[in-house]
Amino acid sequence: MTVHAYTSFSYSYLDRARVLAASLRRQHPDWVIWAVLTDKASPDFSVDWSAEVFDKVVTAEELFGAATDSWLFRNDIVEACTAVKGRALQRIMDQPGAEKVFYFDPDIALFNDMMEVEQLLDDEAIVLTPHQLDPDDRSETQAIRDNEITSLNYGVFNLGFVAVRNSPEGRRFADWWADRLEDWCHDRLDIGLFVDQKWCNLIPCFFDGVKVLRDPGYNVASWNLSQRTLKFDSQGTARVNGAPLRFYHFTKLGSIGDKMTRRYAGDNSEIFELWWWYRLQIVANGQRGIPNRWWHYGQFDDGTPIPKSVRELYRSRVDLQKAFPKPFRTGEGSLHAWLRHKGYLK
Amino acid sequence: MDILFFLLSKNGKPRLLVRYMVFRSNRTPRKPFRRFVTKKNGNVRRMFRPWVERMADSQGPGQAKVADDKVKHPDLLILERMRPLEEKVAKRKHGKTPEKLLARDALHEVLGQVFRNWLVVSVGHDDYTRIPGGVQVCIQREQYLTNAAGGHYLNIHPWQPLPRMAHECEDPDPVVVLVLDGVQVGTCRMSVLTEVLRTRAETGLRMLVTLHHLLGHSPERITDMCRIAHPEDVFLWLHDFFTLCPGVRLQRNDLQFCGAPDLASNACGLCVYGPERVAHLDRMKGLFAELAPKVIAPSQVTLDFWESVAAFRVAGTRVVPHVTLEWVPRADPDPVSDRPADHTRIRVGFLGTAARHKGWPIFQRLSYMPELADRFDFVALTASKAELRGKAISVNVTPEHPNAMADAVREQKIDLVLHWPDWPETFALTALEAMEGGAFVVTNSGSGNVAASVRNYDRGVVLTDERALLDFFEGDAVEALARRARETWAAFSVQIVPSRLSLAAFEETL
Repeated sequence: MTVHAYTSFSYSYLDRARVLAASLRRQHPDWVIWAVLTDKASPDFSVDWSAEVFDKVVTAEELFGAATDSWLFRNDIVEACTAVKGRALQRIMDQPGAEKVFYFDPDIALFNDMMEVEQLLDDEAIVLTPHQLDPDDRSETQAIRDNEITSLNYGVFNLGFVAVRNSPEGRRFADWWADRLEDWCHDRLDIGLFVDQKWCNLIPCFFDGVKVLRDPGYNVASWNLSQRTLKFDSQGTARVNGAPLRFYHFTKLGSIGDKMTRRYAGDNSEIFELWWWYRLQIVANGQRGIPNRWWHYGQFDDGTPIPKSVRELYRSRVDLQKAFPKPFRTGEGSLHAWLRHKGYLK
Repeated sequence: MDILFFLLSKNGKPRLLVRYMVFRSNRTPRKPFRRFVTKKNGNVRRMFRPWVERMADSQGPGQAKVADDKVKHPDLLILERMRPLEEKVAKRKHGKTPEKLLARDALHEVLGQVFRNWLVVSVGHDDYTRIPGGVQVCIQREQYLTNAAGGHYLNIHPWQPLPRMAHECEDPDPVVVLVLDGVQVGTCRMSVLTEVLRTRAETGLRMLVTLHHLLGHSPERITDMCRIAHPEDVFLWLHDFFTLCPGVRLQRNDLQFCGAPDLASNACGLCVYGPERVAHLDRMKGLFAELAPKVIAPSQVTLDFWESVAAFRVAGTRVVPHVTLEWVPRADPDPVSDRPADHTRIRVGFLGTAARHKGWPIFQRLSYMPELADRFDFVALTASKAELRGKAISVNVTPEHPNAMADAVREQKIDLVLHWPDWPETFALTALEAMEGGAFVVTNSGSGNVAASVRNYDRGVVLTDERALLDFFEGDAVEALARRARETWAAFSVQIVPSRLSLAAFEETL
């Protein structure tokens, strides 16, 4: 019986995924670590996967087969890399001996082991971590807006992490999740959707054996720093509100993440130390040659960028999907030519 | 809460006088208002933040008002400047090729003429004859004591200074600078020095080795050299915690004392010194295993801590303070520093380098607090640049003026010295210089030998944390302590009693 962990990313997040994988390997040398890759390399770079920490790599093409192009065209990079999580979970559960499966976003790093969750899965089917565990003070209107109202909009559980037992109930969840993500993994707040995360508000309603993990050491991030304080004890263990820091979600590396961290870390300078460490790791794990903001599926095969509006058009028009099953192609009779003709592309 | 805010503000802006009633200038609320103003985690509630942010006129330079998305936390500024250790190494390397290295015969010639009965080889990290500092003063005194006792004193320090030990892959046989009896006599490779010393030892030279610091050295080559000496004659000083980590103060990312945790701990994994510490400890263990040196600590508190965390092979340990103090009843009043016991204003001093790890930011912050301005004068006695609301007086301790700091304390009639390091100092000469000059010391319980000296001599106060420090300065206890300092100074003069440093240990074996 084996425990599997996977993450989903494109090449532009390879550095982050490597940091996650290394931290997973440090904590759990016996786990099988998967990379779910929704991307292809450009001629400017190549990755030797046999030299990576990952034990296995599975691509979107392997998960979606002949329908990959048509399906991927309907999603932007965030939607696509998120939507593959469902099918990847099914694929991993199909592995002989796979007993428990953990998903981590690539911008997470583990600092202490996950044995507690592994043991929880002996009895539970699904383990989720909420964005917040404690309400903000009534007077903290900015925090309520940033944290609680944002959670109401984007989903109360953070789907940067989910752990599932390969049991009938766990499989039922995986199947439902994969279905929804294949059809509805969209960033459409106007209709109440936010990729895979908003769907998971329904998990406690639909499934039994759901554990909402209310431990401040898990999934620490800017959205819950207003209620969590990181300190090191005399043994050098990082503790959040007294509990060992299990993993930190380094969301939005850059100026937005900096701003939110500064806003809510306040005087908790240990948080800044974590970020300082993470930045160094990202630099050390970077891959030379990956073009800035690279995503193979972000453009037509002649390099023309695909606007989000075109993806949404294709997504909403079944006739286009049938007429152009290879939407990335350019040239005569292609979707690209049709879009230009109709004025959707210049 | 809203009613309170309305009463204290006008059109959403803080009422000037009320603002000063609610907040101290260091942005912390005064005790009666603490519950209303701060959250459980200690952060100021958002509605009160403008009150703090508008108090810029009362704050010191570089001091954060409120750490939030607009104002960076001071530690964040330090982290932004911090580079990985190997980048520091690359920056430190001068890239020059050593010239005029002494070969075996030339070194024999340089050293041979002056060797008499016995020789002390001292290993340091820089040129003690040129660079000021506590360890350097110690080595200098040790040289004088050795020479006075009829021995010669050969100090070696790395030709290429480094912020860690020299790696074998960089240069397996590093170059060292030789300072014989206080005079620089040349440079040579460690292997050449070892060969020459071995030859000398075979012809009857008695050699003692005192390892003051291994920064920049190759512990393997130092071990080779030490093997020439009799096993009983190798001593190692704990001037700091370099034996435990390349971060000599054991401060994680140069910010907070870590206590030398396990290598696999989160603290080490996240620290700038963590990656180097793995090999560092291995090599240090190798040196101790080979040499089993006698360990000398400048204070009992340092030795106790070191023994609690170090797992090294040693032949013995002992405590040798650099100096001790004695109070002698005074026959006549001190002509320089007459301090009336009922003097209303209290003079608070800061001694030495204006550095974070010495507690300078806290002293600076106190000096800018308007509510302290009526009762205290702040005086910085330092050779470094010091910006404060008060007086900065340049003081340079040199071999010619070893008592300059204590004299300055006396001349400036300092009542209390704030010595507030954020790591357990192993000796802290400045704390004793403060007492020698007649001041009492205010420190924290994590300050190592500073707190131990304050308790041992009963000359000051040991406080738990910064909150207690602020309460102390705002309360009456500070006046009582200053009064005690003045009364003690009126009744006693202070004599400093230097120890014989390594000689105290050598004399047992010589």
